[in-house]
Amino acid sequence: MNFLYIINYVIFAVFFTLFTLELGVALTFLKNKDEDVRNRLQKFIGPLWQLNGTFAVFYLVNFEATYPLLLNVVGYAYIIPLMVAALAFILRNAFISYSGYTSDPAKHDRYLKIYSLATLITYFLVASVFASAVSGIGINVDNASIEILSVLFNPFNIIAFAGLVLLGLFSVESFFGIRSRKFVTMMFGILSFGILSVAFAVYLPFLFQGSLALYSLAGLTIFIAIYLFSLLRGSGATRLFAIVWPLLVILSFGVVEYPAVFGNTASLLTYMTNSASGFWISVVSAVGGTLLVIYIAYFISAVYLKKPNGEGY
Amino acid sequence: MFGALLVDILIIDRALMGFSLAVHIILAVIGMSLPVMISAAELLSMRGGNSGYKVLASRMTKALVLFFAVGTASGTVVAMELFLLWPKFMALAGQVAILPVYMEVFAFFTEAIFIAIYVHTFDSDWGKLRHWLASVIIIIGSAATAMFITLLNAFMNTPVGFNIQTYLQTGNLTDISPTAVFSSPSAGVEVPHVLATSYFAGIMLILAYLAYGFIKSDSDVLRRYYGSGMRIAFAIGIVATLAALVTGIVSITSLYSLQPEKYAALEADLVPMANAPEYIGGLFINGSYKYYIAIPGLQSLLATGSLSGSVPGLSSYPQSTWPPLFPLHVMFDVVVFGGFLEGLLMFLIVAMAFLRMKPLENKTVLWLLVAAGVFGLFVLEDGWIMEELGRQPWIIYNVMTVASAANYSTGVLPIMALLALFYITVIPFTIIVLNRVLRAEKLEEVLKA
Repeated sequence: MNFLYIINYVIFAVFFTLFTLELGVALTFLKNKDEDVRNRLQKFIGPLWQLNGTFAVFYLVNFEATYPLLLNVVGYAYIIPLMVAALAFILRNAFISYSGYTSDPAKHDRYLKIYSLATLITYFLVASVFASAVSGIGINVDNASIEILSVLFNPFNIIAFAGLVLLGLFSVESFFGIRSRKFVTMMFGILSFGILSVAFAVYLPFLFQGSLALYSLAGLTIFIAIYLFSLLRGSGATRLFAIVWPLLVILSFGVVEYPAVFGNTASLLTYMTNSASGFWISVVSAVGGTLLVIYIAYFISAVYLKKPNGEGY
Repeated sequence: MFGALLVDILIIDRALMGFSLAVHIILAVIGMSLPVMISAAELLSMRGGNSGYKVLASRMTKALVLFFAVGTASGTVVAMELFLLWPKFMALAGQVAILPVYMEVFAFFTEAIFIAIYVHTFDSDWGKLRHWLASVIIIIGSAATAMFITLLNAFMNTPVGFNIQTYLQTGNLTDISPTAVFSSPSAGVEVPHVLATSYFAGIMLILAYLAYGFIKSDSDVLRRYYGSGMRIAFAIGIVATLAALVTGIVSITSLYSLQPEKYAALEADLVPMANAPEYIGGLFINGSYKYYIAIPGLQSLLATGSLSGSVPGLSSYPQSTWPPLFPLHVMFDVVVFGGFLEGLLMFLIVAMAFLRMKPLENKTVLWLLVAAGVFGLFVLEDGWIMEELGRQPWIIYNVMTVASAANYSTGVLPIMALLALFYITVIPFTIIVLNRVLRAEKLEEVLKA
C-alpha cells in the first residue's frame, strides 16, 4: 500500500472519527434535555471541537499535497456542497464558542442548538461528498460535474448516513453512559454496523471481490462483540472502545477500498503527486505527526487528566 | 454571451477569494497580536506588577478564543477556496510549492492545541511559569503560520522549484525541487514585511480598543487598568512600527529587480528612466499622467542608491502584462502616506512621553489612537490588495494567468452571495457576543477584588 495514501487516509480516519463523535454529541444536545448530561457533554466537547477543526484543516491540506491532480476534478465538481459545508463549519465554530461565554440559560440553549444543527449539516455534506467520491454516484468525472440532488439524496448516501448517525450516537452514549437502558444504546451499535455493512455490500460490491473485506468484517464483528460485552458489564474499557470503534470502522473501509475511487472506475494513485514532493511530504508528515502526538498527549494530560477542580467526564 | 458569462464568473471568483481573504486577514492579525499582549501582561503579572495585568490577560484570552474560533473557520474556507476557485493553480502549486502550506498545518496545530491548554489551565494550579510558556508557544505557532502562508505568496510572485521554460512550452512539470519554495527570491523580503505589518495593524487595533476604554472610564481603577494595557500595547507597537518601516522600504525596492512591472505600476513609471522622480498623487487621464507632485531624483535614490540610477518603465513590457494602472499608484500612495501618519503619531507620543506630558492620558492623543487603530487596518488591507493587484494578470508571475487558473463553474454565484451574507452576519455577531462577555464581567468589581 502506498505510503502517502496511508498517511492521507489515517489523517482522514482520525478527522472523521472525531467528527463522528462530535456528531453524536451534537445530536444528543438536540434531543437530550438532562442538564447533567448536557454539562458533561459540553465539558467534553469544549477542547475537542477545536482539535477536530484543526484536523479538518490538516486533512484538507494533506489532500491538496497528496493528490494535486485530483483538485481539478474535486474543485469543479464538488464546489457547492464543499463551500456550503465550509459555511456551516464557520457557524459551528462561532456558536460553540459563543455558548461557552453566555450566562443566560435560554441563549446558551439556543446557541447549542444552532451549533448542533450546523455540525449536522457540515457532517452530512462532508460525508455525502466522500460517499459520492468513493461510489461514483452523482459525479461525471470526465466533465468534472455533479448532479447535486443525486449526490446528496441517493439511497446509498442516505443509508450510509443513517449508519454513521447511529455510529456517532452509539459511541457517545456508551462513552458517557447516557442511557440507563443500555439495550437501546447497544441496538444503535448493532444497527449502525449492520446498516453500514449492508450499504457497502449492496452499493459498493467491488469492495467484496477479494477476501480482505470478509476478514475485515470478521475482525470488526469480534471487536464489536467485545465492545458490547464491555458496555453490558459497565467495564472501564468501554470509553476506550467508544473512541477506537469508529476509528477502526473507518480505517477498515480505507484498507478495503484502496486504491479505488469514483466507483472503482479510477485509481487514486494516478492522481498522486510526484516522487520529489511525495518524499518531502512523507518527511514533514513523520516529523509533524510525531510533534502532534506529543502535543495531544500533553494536551490530554494538561486538560483532561489534571482537571483543576478534580471533575471527570 | 457565453464568453461574457465566463468573464463574470472570473470576477466572482476573484471577489469571493478577495472577500474571504480580506475578512481572514483581520481575524489573523488579531489572532497573532492578542497572544503577544496576553503573554506580556501575564509576564508582568508574574513579576509582581499590578493585579490588572492578570485581569487584562484573562479578558484578552476570552477575545482570543472567540476570534480564533471564527478565524479557524475562515482559514478553512480560504484553504478550500484555493483549490475550489483556482484548481489549476493548486494542481501546479500542489506539486511544486505545497510544503510550506503543509508545514503551516503543524504550526496551526501548535497554536490551536496550546490555546486550548492555556485556556483550560488559566486559573488552575498548573504552575505560573508553565502557563506563561504556553502563551509563548502560541506566539511562535501563530507567527509560524503567517510565515509559511506568506512563503506560498512569495512563490506566486517569484516562482521557483521547476523548469519554467519546459512548463511554458509543454505544460509538463520537470526538474521539481519542492524545497526551493523556502528560498524563493521574494521570500526573504515578504516574510519579515508581512510579520511586521500584521503585528503593527493588530497591536494598533488593540491599542485603539484600550484607548477607547480609557476615554470612557469613569473611575481611577478602570483608567489604571486601561492605562497599563496601553503601555504594553504601545511598547510593542513602537517595535512593530520600526520593523514595518524598514521592511516596507526593503519590500518596495526589491520589486525593482524581482517584479519590474509591479514596481513601475506602483511608482507610476510609464517609461524607463534615469534620475527618476518620486511621484506623489496624480491621475491617469487618456494614457498620460497628470496632477502629481514630483520630487526629483528621489525614486532613483531609493531604488538604486544613486540619483542617476535607472528605474524600469511599463513601456518595456507588453501592455497585456501590465497591472491595472489606475488604482495601483493611488493605493501605493495610501500605504506610504498612511504608514507615515501612523508612524508619526507613535513617535509624537514617544516625544511627548520624554517631555513628561503624559500622552496616554491626553484625550486628543487617545482619540487619535482610536482612529489610528481603524486606519491601520485599512492600510493593511490596502497594502495587501495592492500587492495582489500588482501581480495581475498573473496568479503565478510569468507562468500562469488568473484567468487560466480559475474555476468557471456557475456554482460559484450562489456561494458568493451566501459567503458575503455569512461574514456580514457572523463577524459583527462575534463582536457583539465578545462585548457582552466582557461587559458581563463587571470589570471594576473584578479589578477591586
